[in-house]
Amino acid sequence: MRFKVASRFHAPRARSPQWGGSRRWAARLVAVAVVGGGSLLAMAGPAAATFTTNTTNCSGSATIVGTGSDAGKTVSVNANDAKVTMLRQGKVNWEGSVPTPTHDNQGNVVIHLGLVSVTAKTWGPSKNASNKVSKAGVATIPSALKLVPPGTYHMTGYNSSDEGTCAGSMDLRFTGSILSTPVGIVAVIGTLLGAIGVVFAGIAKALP
Amino acid sequence: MRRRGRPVLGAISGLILGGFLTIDLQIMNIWSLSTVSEIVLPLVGLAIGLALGLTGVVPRPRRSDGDAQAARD
Repeated sequence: MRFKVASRFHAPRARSPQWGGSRRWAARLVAVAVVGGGSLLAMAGPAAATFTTNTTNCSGSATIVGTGSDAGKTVSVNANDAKVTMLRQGKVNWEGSVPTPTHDNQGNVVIHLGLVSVTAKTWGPSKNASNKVSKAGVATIPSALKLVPPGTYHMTGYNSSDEGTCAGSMDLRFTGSILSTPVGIVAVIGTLLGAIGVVFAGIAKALP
Repeated sequence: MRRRGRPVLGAISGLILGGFLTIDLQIMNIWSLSTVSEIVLPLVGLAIGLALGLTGVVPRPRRSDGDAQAARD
């Protein structure tokens, strides 16, 4: 089965029961991943290394077209990819599909930040009464992504339905200087202050 | 054990150092943010800061002769 989530990214308007199948869900995942912080493409393909489960043979992909500071850049993402270099500004053209319609779909996309996990998107349950097997759309990358410090972030997502489950994970990489975001600047200053404090604490007190 | 340095300051500073260092390493793609990295580095920093504070092994900065004279005056 194929799952195409071609993502252009926008989070799937996804909750419509008419999404159709896993592909759509896959697409949603991709879109959400990109949109939601980079998001996830976690959908499925049996042979996909990043799919942890794909009993519905979902597939998906997305093309991110940069705008603003990322104008001129284009990133293609497939649900099978293990890692993607994200843009901070742009439009996401996503697409997802499944070989056969799936019903009562629901799922989410979660970004893991160490001890903290942020849910970027949830959807469903969606009946998909029209038996659609694919879905596509366009999403805009949230402006908050401009503030995300450079680094690699792990994302997971899944879509479950009556017919099966499609789940996977992906690493989202944001490039840039450590001083390119407020968080990075604070981290550097905090590190320096901490180091100074440790050294100062280690200096023996003067004897009376 | 005799306290020679500033163990409380060392422990707190080490904790802060380890916490921010975790973020630095994540940003520089050296060590991905994870539950382990978020716990290990701050604890290591705390231990180092506490140890330095208890032992006071960091040499005191020397005063110049002029400063020493001024202090005596």
